[in-house]
Parts: sequence; C-alpha cells; structure tokens
Amino acid sequence: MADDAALIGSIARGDRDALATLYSRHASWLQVRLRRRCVDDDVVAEALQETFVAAWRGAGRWRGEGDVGAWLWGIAIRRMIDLLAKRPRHCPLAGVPDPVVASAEEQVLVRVEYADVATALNRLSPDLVAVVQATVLDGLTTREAARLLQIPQGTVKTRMARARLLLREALS
Amino acid sequence: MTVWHADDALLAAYAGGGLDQARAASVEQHLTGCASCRAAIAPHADAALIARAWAGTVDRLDRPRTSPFERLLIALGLSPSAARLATGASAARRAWVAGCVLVAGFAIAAREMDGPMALWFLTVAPLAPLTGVALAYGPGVFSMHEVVAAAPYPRLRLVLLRCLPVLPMTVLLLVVGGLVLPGTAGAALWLLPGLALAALGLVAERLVGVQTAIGGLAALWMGGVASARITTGSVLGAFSPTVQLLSSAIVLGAVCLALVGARRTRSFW
Repeated sequence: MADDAALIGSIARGDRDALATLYSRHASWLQVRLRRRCVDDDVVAEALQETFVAAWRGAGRWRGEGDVGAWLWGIAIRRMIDLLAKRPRHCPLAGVPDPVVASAEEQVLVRVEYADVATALNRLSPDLVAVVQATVLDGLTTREAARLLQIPQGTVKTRMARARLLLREALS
Repeated sequence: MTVWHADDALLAAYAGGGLDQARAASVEQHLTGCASCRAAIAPHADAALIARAWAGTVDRLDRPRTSPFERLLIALGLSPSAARLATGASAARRAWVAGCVLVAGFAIAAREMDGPMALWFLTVAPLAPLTGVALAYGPGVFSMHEVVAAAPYPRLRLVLLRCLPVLPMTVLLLVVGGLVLPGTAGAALWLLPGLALAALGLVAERLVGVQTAIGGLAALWMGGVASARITTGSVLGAFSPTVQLLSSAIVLGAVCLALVGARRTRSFW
C-alpha cells in the first residue's frame, strides 16, 4: 500500500482515487479533533471538506517535509478558523466556558501546587488552556488563535503569559 | 518508530470529550504522527458527517473553477451568480478580443495613412464594441443564451454585466495604443460613441433580436457619419464634442438606471 507521501504525489498528478484513499485514512481523526474545538457539526463538515479540496489543489506545493497528518491538520484548523470568522455567533467553542464560569481561574491561581506538567496543565483555567492549546499544541500564530477563540490578540498574549507563569510556578 | 499506541478505551474517551486537557493533547500529538492509531479512531468518529463532507468535497472538485476575472468581479462586490453571468461567454470573448486587436491595428494603420482609410476606420471602429458585446452573448455563441433569455432578470443590469468583461479590454487597447504609438491617441475618439452604441445595442437586442439591433444601429451610425461628412466636410464631424457628450450621457444613463434597478431588486440577486 502506498504511503501518504506517495499519495500526495499521485494527487498532485490528478489521481482522484488517491484523494479518496487519503480521505479514508485521515478524515476520522481530523473530524474528531476539529469536533473537540467546535461543537457545530456543519462547521466541522465544511472545514473537513475544504481541507481536502485544498489538499487536492495544493498537493503540488507539498515539499515532502514532515508528516502528511501534520500538514492536513495545519490546513484543517486554519480552514475552520476562516469559517468561524465568517459566522462568529453560530459556533460556541467546545471546552471554552462562558464568562461566569471563568471566575474559577481565581481558585486555580491559589491551587496550582503540582510539580507534574500534565496536572499543572489540567489545573489551568479553561480560558488559559484554550490559549495554550491553540498556540502551543496546534501551532497557531497569535492572530490565528485570536480568531479561533474570538478574543483580541492582546488577550491571547496576556493569557499565554499568565499560563506560562502559572506552569513555571507549578513546575519549580 | 512509535512503540506505544493508544488503546481503544483511551481513543473512545478522547473522541467522546471525556479526557482531561493534558491527556487529550498527548493523544492528539500522537495521532498526528501515528497511522495505526489514526485507523483505530475511525469507529469513534462521526461516519455520517464524514460521508457528507466527502460528498461535498467531490462536488466542489467537479464544479468549474472560477476564473481570475470572475474572482475580481466577486471581490468588487458582485454576487457569484452575477459574476458567472458576466463571464459566461469567455470563449466568445477571446474571439472578440482578437477582433478588437485587429481593429486597433487597423486604427494605427489608418492614422499613418490618413485619407480614405481613416474614414473607413472611424466609421467602423465604434461598431466594434457593439458587435463584440452583443454577439458574444447571442444565440449560437453564448451557451447560456436560452437560460438567460428565459430568466426573470433586470434587463439593464444584464446589459451592464455583459459590458463588464468587454470594456476593460477596449480601454486597455486604447490606452496602451495611445501610449506606445505617438499620434494614435486620437483613436480614443471612438470609445464613447462605441460604448453608447453597445449599450443601445444590448437594450435593442432584447426587444428586436440580435441581427436587427446590430444592423439597425450600424446603419444609423454609418448614416450619421456620412451626413457629418456631407455637412461638415469631414468624418470627424461625427466625433464632435456634442456627439461625445451625448454618448457619455447614454453610457452614464445606462449605468445609473442599472444601479437603481439593482438596488430595487437587491433581494433577488
């Protein structure tokens, strides 16, 4: 069976079957991962669709560096951000609490006393975790993270700084 | 090589949203690079959604791609359907552009020669945009002719839309011709009468048909040029400031009416 990189090569030459194979391999985990960031199934479906349309058209530009999965995820998350920007009010983000719940951050501030990074991450307030997830784990820029979370860029920066401080304290 | 793999319970918890942030992040990082775990998560994904997205993907790939000019029109605020309507006759437009280049060449030659050639050029050239615009969308040339003819669409707006792809070429030819070749700026004389004839022709086309509209307007124009030659002694009489002003008025009027009509029917397009 051809590996993903070979599939991208076939797609670049216009092989529709190769795109179908790539889709069957990657659509599932991309769907689950997108769904964790947006509860609106329509947005997830459209982002998934646009990801593979972009992969079909952009396969020729793939330089063969890194993992195909990472490449596809990079397209998918950015497509979803674009879609969310188009209809900002219709898609509450999964895992981001409403402002009332966010006050729990105060409690978290005094309770971070764990020397384990996973525990420390879990102890961060959902607001801060969302920023850490977008910038560190999903590899988005400050601007893209701001669009995903629908908060100002400055807020992304201050929350990231606070998260960094809390994690450092928790780990020292 | 990865030796560790996520077990089914972990993947199920991750897909169901029941995993804490740190473990979810770690599963995600693993999935990005591990093909066997990516395959293992498939049963936990939304199969219906994935099938729907694939159908949408295939549909998008089968759809004709929008041309750069169409995208420009959309970027300028035109609705996608209106842009498709304006650019629908791209094949015919290419033929028209070739014709327009020929006419421009003719214009330059006429400037050099003067005399009877100039007479013929100035008589014929204003008819070029008219025939170009009208013929590009006529029956037999324009594939969507029947569809468009049967569609309830503001006529004047359609006229303006159809002029959009043709006019930039005309203006470009004139400007480039005028800049590159000294002494040919006079060729711009026929632009405004040409545009006015094109606008009139498109309105007339909807009323009396392509052949009659073009034939009638061509006869009218040639008669005007001939009478100008007789009364003023030069064909340039047909390009006097009065004619230019009248032409501008017709073009501006068409644009204004189309814009008013567009505002009134905004909900339909």
